[in-house]
Amino acid sequence: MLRLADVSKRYGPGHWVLDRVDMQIPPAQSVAVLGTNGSGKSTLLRILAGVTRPTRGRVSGAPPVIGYVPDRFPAFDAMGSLAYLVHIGRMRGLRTAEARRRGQQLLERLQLVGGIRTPIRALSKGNAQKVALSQAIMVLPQLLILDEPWSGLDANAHDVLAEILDEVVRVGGSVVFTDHRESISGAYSTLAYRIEEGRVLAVERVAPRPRGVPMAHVVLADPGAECPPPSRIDWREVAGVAGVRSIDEAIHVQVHPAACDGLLMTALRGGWSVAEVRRDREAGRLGGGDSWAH
Amino acid sequence: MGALIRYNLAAVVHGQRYVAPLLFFGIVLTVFTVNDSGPLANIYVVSASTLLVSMCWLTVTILNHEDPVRRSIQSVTAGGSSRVLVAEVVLALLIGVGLTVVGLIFPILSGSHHWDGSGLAAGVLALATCLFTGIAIGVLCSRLVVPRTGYSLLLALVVVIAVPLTPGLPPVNPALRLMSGNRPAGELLYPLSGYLVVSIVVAAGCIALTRYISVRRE
Repeated sequence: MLRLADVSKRYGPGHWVLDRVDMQIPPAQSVAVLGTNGSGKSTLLRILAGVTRPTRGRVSGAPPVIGYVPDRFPAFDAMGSLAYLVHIGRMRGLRTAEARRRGQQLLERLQLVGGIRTPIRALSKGNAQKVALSQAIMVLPQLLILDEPWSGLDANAHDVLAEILDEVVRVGGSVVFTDHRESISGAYSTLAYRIEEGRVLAVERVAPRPRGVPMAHVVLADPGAECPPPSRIDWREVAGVAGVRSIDEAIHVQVHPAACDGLLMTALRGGWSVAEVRRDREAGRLGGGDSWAH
Repeated sequence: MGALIRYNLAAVVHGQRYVAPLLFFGIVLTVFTVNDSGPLANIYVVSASTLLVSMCWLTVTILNHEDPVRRSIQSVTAGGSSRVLVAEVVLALLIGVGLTVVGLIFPILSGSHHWDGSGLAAGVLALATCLFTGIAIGVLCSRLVVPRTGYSLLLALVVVIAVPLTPGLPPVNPALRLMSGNRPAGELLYPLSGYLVVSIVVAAGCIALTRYISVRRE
């Protein structure tokens, strides 16, 4: 198990970005790291990935195969995305044909737009991010580290990313990811840490959603002309919300069952009318193959 | 390691920045060796000093070809940043061996020289000395040690000119002095071998120092 013991980090003589961090990444868990911009999330992930050395303290128990997806994927290369993945696959010990098959399969699954032979530098940010994600899972890693993986990805890729995280956890691997939105981390993680002023604290969760338990599905509507118009609420920022979609003037919100009452309270206070509340029929995170916009 | 070297080769080839140092090598070699008819050891001074500059330039190009974030992905995939550095140095060395062969044979073909085994052997030793020294300077002037490109370029330029021109500074200056003298090539082999060993030690030291600095900076 990957462990950080009393790890501190500062760049040069500056302030401590991380301060005496003790943390463990248990197997078969998906760990969210929360924190504001510049709080040290990326530095913590870089230390976990072995890319950055801590100034003090010790990192132990790193597994042999680590997948790392940085928060941005600088793309200056004339190399095509498939060719890049084949190279990465070979570095991971795959044979060329095997690496090609796996690369193609991943890019198809993530629905890369722009062509698998197009130079990476010609791809859009979201599509380059898909290449970045694919390289990390050419061989299913024992530890998958993702820095803000949802940013820039489209709704379909969100679903695939959720499946990938599940796959890694299901085979006993660990996932560590950051996101600044609590709703996302709530829906995809089983453990959470928060970084505040360099200290990393375990977050007490509102009863983590057990595997296989369906999410709640809430349909909210405008109460109509007789009532005052409902207030504008950014549903994605409400605790426990995993997905939001707008269908025929109604707002469909998918929410962690434990956070459902809180969501209803927020909605009613905001002047919204609750049209429907139900458990999703399927256990899948985003339910029924629908594509949810985050 | 093979896959790692192959990836770096492909990335460098795609990036096309290798063209300038290779072109420089080809042009200088052509200009100074075509129709030359002096002793072979003398003309190898041109080959060797051109190789020194080209290898320094090429090594910087290879080590700087990837953005630091992308390099971090490569090092996680490869299992450590040291492996990436070694792969890049090996790639530079492989290309350098190719250039060494060209630097040895081209002057013979393009000029009219009396050539023998000991002349060729002296050439191999002098060129290899410059090959390793060029890599050593290139590694130290790469982004891993000097993050700003402008400073990196300036430093590389100053060092690569100063090293062969500083009287008595081993290994390049004394090796080239030996080659440009009138002593028979057979007598040069022993001291040249010594300078080659020095250049290998210098290169190993520079690579270790670069690794130390880049790891501390991570």
